Amino acid sequence: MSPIRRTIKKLLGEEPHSRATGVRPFFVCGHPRSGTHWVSALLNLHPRIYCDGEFHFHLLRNGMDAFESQAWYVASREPVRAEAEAAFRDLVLRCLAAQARRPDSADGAVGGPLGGGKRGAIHVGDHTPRMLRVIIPPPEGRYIVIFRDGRDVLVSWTFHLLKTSRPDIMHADVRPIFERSLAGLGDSADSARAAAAALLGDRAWIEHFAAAWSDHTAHDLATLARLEGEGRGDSLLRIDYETLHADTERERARLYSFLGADPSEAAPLSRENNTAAGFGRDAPRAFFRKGEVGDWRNYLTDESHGWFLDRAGSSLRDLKYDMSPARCVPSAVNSATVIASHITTLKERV
Amino acid sequence: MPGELRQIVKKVVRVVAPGMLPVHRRMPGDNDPEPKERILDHTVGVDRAEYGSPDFDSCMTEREFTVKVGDRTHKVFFLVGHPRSGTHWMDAVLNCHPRAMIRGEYRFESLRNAFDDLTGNKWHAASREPMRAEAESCFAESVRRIVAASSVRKPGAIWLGDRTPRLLRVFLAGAPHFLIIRDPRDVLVSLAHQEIRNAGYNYRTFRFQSELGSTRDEFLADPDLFKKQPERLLASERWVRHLVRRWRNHMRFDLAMLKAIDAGEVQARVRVVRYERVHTDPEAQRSAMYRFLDLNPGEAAPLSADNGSKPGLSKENPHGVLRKGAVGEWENYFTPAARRWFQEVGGRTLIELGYAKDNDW
Repeated sequence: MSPIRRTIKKLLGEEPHSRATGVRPFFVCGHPRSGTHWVSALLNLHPRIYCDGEFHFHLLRNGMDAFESQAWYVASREPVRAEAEAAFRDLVLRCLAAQARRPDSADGAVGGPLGGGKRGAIHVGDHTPRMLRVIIPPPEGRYIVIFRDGRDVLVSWTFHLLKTSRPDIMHADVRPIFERSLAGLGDSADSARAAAAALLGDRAWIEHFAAAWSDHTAHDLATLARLEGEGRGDSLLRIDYETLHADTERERARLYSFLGADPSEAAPLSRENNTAAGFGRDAPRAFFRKGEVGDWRNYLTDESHGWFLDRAGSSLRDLKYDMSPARCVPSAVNSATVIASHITTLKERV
Repeated sequence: MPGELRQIVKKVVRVVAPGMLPVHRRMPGDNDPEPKERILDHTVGVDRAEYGSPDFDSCMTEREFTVKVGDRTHKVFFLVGHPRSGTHWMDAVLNCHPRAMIRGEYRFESLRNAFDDLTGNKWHAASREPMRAEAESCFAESVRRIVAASSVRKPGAIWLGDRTPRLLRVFLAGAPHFLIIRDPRDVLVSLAHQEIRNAGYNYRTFRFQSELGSTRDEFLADPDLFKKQPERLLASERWVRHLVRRWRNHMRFDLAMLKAIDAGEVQARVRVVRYERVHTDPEAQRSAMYRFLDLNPGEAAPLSADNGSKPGLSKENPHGVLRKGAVGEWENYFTPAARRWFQEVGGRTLIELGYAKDNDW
C-alpha cells in the first residue's frame, strides 16, 4: 500500500484490513524445521485465527521487485508502481481468503491440507518457512518470526531431508554424501538414525547447513532490528522455540494477543493435533519427528560441534544460546530475561 | 482455461526454447543443434498476417482484456518481438492513432515467471484449488489494472498497450497481440551495436568482456568505429553464435506459440508485422494494424520523423537506442565467417521465416 493510500485510510479511520476479503493477514516466518508448523498449529486452536499452507509469496515478491527494478520499466514509476503494489496486495489477500473460506472436504475434516478452511476466522496467515521479508507492509501485515537452536535445526533438517529423499535439489557441495546415505537407507527407524548419524559426522554437511542457518538467522535478526527501528515493532512478534517448549501456554497467549484475539477462546493443547510441546515419540521417518530441545547433543561430537561453531557460532551467540562443548550438560538458555535483553540490544544497534 | 494455458506455455518453453528460460530453469539441450523440422506448415515464410480466431470465446466477450477506469472503458493489447526488431518504431506508429496509447515496457514476463513459481509446486498452497483459480484471476486482473494505471496520459485512448521486446506469451486470454518480425541478420547487427555500447545483458551475463572489452573501449571513444571497420562488429565466433542462438530460440518459441494459437490451444489473436514490409509500404501496413484493433485508419495522424514513426532515421546514431532503422544493412557487416556461423546455428529458422531460400547467401 502506498503511503498516500495508507494516510487516507488512517484519516478515514478505517481498520487495517481488507474490506474486499474481510481478513487481516499475518505471516509466520523462520528457518525450515524451526517450528513454523507448530506455531501454525497453536494458532489454529483459536476460532478467530486460521493459518494453513505454504504460499511462498516471497517468490512473487521477487517477481514484483524485478518488475519494478529498471528505470525504463513502466512499473518503476508512479502511478503504475503504486497500482502494481496494490494489485500484489490484493492477490495475497485474496489467496489467503480463498484458503480460509474454502469448503470442507468430503470427509468433513476441517483445517489442514486435507480439510476445509475456517469460515469464522478473521486473522488469516501463511506459514512458509522462509526468511523474514515484508509481503504486506505493517501495520496491515503482521509478522511472527520463530528462532530455534541451529544445531537442533540441523539434526531435524537432516532427518527431514532423508525422509523426502530429493538429492536433485541439493547443493553440489553436499549432494555426493547425501546420495551415498540414501543408497544405504532402509525402511526402519534404526536405518534412518544411522544414515542421519553418518551425515551429521560429515564436515561438509555440517558446514554447509550451519552456514545456511547462520545466514538466515543473521538476515532475520537484522530485518527485525530494521523494522523495529522504523517504528513497526507492534507488527512484529519474535518467538523462540525453546521458550515455547518450556512454557507453551504463556507463549501461545502471546501469539493470540499479538494478533488481537482473546487467548481464553482458544482450545486446549493436545498431543493428538501436535500442539503440546514435543511429540512424545522418536519417529525418524515422520514429518513430526520428535520436537525436542537439545536433541543435537545425541548426534554431534565435540569435533563436529566445532565445525558447526566455525560457521554459525556468531549467530548462536547473537541468539544467546549455550555454546559449551557437545558433551557438557547444558545450562538454561533463552529465558525471558535473556530474550528481553537481546531485543534491547537490537534496538540499541538501530 | 488459464491452467491449460500455463501448461502449454511451459511445454513450449521447455521443448522449443529452453535457452530463453532463466538459468535455474534451463533444461538439458540448451545448446543443441537447430532442429530440422519446420514449426509452421507454411511453404514459404510466415505467410499469413493474422493468427488465431476472433470467434474464440475470450476474443468475443473481451472480458479478460477489458478494464474500467472511472467511467471509461479500455481494452488492452500487446506488442512483442525479439529485441531490436522494431518494437520502438511500431510503438510510435500505433501512437499516431488518437484511440491507441502504447508507451513503455512493462515486462509482465517477470511477474508471470514468479507467479508460475507460486502456483507450480505441489506443496505450495496456491497450486491447489480454489486458491489457484483465485490467484489466476488476480494475476489477470493485476495485468489489466497495471496497464490501465497509465490511461490518464491519453484519456481518449480506447486501446492501452504494452510494448515489451519479449516472447509471444499470452497473459490475457483473447487479447490482440502484434508480433513484429525482422530479418535476424539486421537484428544481429543492431543488437551487437547496442550490447557492446551498453555492456548489455548478453555481454555481461555470458562474459564477453575478455573478447570484446577492447573493442568496446574503442567504440565508446569513437561512435563511427564499426562504420570504419565493419568486420569487427561480428568478429567473435562465440559472440555471433551466442546471439544467433538467442534469436533462434526466441523465434522458435514464437512460431510454436503462433501454431498453438492458431489451433485454439491458446486463445488470442495475433497480427504478424514484418519490419521490412512496413518499411516499404508504411501507410498500407499501419492501416492494417489500426484495423486489427477495429480502429478507423482515417483518424490517425500522419507519420512523422519528429515522433519516430517514419521509416528509418535521417541520421545514423551508432550509440543511440534508435540507431538507423535500415533494411538490409547486415550485408555491410557480415564476413564470410560470420555468415557460416549464422547459418550453422540459425539458418533453418531464417529459411522458415522466408528471409532466405537456402543457406547459400
